[in-house]
Amino acid sequence: MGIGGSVTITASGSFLPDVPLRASGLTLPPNIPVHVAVTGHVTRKQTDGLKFFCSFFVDLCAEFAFFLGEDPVPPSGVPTIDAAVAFASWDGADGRRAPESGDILAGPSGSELWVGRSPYFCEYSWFFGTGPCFTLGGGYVYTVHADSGDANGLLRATVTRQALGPAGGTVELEAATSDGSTPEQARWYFVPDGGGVIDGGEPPIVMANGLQSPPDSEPRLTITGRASAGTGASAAPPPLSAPAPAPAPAPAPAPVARASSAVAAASWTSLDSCNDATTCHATIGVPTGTFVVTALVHGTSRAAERRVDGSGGGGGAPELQLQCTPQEVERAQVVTCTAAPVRPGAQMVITGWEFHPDDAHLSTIQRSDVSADQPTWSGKMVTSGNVKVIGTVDGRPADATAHVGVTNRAPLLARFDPPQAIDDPDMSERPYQAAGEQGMFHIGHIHTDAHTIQFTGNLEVINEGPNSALGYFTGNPYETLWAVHINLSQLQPNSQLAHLQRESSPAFEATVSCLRSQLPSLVAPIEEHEGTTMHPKSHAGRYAAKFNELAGPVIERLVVQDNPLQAVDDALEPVIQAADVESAKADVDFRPTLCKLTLFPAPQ
Amino acid sequence: MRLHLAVITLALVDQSLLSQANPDSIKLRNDCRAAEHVLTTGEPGPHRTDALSIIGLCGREGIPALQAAWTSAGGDRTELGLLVTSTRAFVAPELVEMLFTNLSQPSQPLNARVASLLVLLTYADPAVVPGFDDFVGDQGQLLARRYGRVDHSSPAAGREQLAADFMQRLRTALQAISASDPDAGMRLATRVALKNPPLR
Repeated sequence: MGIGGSVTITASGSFLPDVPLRASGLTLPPNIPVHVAVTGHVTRKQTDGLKFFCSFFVDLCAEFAFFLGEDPVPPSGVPTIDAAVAFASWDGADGRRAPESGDILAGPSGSELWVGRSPYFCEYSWFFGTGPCFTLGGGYVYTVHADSGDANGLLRATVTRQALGPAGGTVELEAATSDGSTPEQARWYFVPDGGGVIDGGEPPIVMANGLQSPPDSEPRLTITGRASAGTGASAAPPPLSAPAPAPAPAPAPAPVARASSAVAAASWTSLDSCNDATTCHATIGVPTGTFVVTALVHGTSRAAERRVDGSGGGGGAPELQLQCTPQEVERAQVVTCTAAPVRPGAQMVITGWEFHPDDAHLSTIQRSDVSADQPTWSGKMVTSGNVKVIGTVDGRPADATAHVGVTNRAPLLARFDPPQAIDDPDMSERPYQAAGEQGMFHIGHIHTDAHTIQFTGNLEVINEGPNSALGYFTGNPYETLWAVHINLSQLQPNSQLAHLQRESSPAFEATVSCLRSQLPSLVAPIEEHEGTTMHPKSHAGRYAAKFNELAGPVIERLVVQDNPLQAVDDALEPVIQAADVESAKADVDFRPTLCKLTLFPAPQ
Repeated sequence: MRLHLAVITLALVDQSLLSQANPDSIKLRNDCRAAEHVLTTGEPGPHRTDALSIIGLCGREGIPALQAAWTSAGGDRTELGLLVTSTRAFVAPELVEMLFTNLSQPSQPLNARVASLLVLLTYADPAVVPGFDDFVGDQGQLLARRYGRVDHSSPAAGREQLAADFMQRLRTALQAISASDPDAGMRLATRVALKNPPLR
């Protein structure tokens, strides 16, 4: 569920008609920073007719295996052809197609989400008859989520107290940022659930037409109603061009798709009395919906959402209660949540558990193990959120929610051993003086931020409880690979560089030029400047200090759900940039005191 | 008339004195002539290492010899390392074209293609100075490593204007190689490059 619920375009039958872009009924306040995701997929099950067809035309079916397999179709559509592609826009603008990964829309919201889907059709035809390739199912689900910002200042909304039933009730909320900064110019909204389901399955009348088509004399495959291939033209691939998604400027339903079954535009409410406040006390007249808060975080507009659901209680009073102990723990400590009926003696049946993280970057966690019907759910907690239990009490649906808070541990610091100084072929045998350069690179430098990410021993994945399958760090995975390179072969009395220097000092010289014999003595101050002694003002000393100051807390609170390497890269990128800037200060106030070195001339 | 002759004579004398006042430039010019000869003719062979270490400082006159050295380079990392360091010292459109050709040529040894990549990355950002070990080796380790930047940029002794779309061209070329190059080692090397500066 996202802000205002969700919109689903279903898939069913043997082909999918065009669903032109249309108003979804999911409305929300305009200009909220959001991202819109399309999830789900269209399932494909081969028909018996296709299996029979393919048992004769093995080569043909093998050639089109990528179209005829049973892989689910993602919202980006059937590979290679533009079929079953999900589209979305705001307020009737031109539709954007779903990408292979990432959000379909991002940026400021409009007033109403518009959704659509292009058609998909696959048919075989031969002397035994004609028929569809697949039985289709599933569908695409559109959800709108608040854009809460990056890891440096996530805006979060939490429910601090609520008394909600089927007729609504009161909710108290709080807005805060992940880095402790104060959200400014807060605006609060309540968005009741809108959206609904758009039946994008096969209309019966078109199926009848399909059955009446006369069989071809040649075996034939037709995909999306345009691409076709027969045994006589088996080498011809299906065309890459596809039916246009036909974004429609008007919300009129398409003649081939059945009307939406539940598109009721519910209007959102601006909670003006909470303006500029980081807490909000609201009274709502419906049991479910989403509170949205927008605010400036470090000068950038961010948003956070918090869904509330009071529909589980019967007759206005809650039937089910949920207690999580402790209510707040330090990251990686165990919490146990226990469900119980409110009325003693009532019969409680648990049907499922969910965890809804406060961090909008994380997805809802469903309890999927065989004990999902148990009255307790226990495990290590690494991120704050709402635990929800779903079931029945005396046969009536009921649910209950409890918030679990997670506090930070001590920062996780990376280990920085002093870099070793070595010679390296990345420096020229003839250190040269380029115009405008300090000429330092070919004398000595440090590969400051070279590193590797080591998960073994540092990343732990939780295997049970509300935070099941989340990964968190027990140690800092950043392992420095830094190295100081000094041109040791040239900082010798008999090197090519040495022969550019004077053998003895002149009687009078404005600047103190290096003598040949002095070159070896330059190594130590250059090493200290780069940081082999970890002097706090050296490149290495400064980099390590700034890195740990920033990365220690970032890694400690980093929770990953998938692709941990990408998550660590993204989290450390601003840290490394800041540490590099700090390291560069060594060239301002910790330059080595050297005699004037004559370098090789640069070309004219 | 006499006055004009006197001025011209004085000017010639002045030029001569300037040249003599910069003996390092004269030595460099002589060394460059020798390096160009060694690298374009292959003779005398024993001086090839010295020639490789100096040719990058020879300016535009050194470009044909650099091109010849790249053409005759095999897969030896030591020699390629010298060639990389020398080529990094002079940025010119002709060298860029040659390096892109090498990079995209599956018939070239892996080390030679990676060497081209090393130079192109430094052309794109002088603070990015990776080595062979950053691109060739165990896949799991390479993809978890980040070579980052150095504190003092690698200065180009000479730099001519490159096309404005150089960075985008490099990114596009690497994406194409990472997607479909027949050499798995090269696909890995380009994936590593795309995850590191300056392309990340």
